Amino acid sequence: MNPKGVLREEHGRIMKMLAVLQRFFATLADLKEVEAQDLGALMEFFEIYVDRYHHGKEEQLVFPALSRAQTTKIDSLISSLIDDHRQARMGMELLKFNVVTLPSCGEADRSEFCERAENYVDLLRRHIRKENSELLPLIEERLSETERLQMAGQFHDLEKVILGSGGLETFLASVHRLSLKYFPSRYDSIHFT
Amino acid sequence: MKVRIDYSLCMGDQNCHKVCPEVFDFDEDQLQSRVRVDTVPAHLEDEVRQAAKDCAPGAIIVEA
Repeated sequence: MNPKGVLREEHGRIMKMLAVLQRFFATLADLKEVEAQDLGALMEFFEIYVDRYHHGKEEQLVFPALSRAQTTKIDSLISSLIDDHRQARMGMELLKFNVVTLPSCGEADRSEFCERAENYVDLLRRHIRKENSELLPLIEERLSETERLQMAGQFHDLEKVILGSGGLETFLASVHRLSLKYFPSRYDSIHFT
Repeated sequence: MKVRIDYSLCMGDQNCHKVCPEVFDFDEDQLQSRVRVDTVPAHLEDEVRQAAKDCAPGAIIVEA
């Protein structure tokens, strides 16, 4: 698959899990063991799949390739997207801190946790929409077919390094399981990727 | 047939607008798609189903 298609699919999975995260915290009352496991899976997805893998792929491969065009507009866009990544990392650190104390914390702390989760969700949604409308078209407009093919190969290599053998399938299974659990009437086999 | 968009999932890649511009518009300010019709014209139902199937986050909801 071409790099634009790969990134688009990844954005789709991330949007699903953001919706799960939002639903999870909207219905959070007493955190039971099974829900704690779901929360762990969500945190792992955002920390590893989203940040280390997806954002890492963009920062190590996509942004440098497009920066070679040396236009102010592209550089400004990339700078803005890198800043979003940085803010998302900070947001994730705040959430991780709260996750540790969540089972025993009071109502005020839970409320703060939910607010941080909402902020994280809003940030990533805006970021993905910005990338879909401005960054992804640039991959086809600015890179030659040879460069896109090369990038697709580099994506594959990075997947093996960051996610390891079978790692991607594990995350896809997580997206499927949690999407069906928290949105049972919405998701079916058509939308599973 | 009716169609609506789940805006918590819409990621603004304009794919639905490309597949069926008669039914799906794109809001350049919000970077999200919009449904242009109350009822999908019969001759566009297949395109709308295709757009829903192609939507990566599953944001398009088709109601028979």
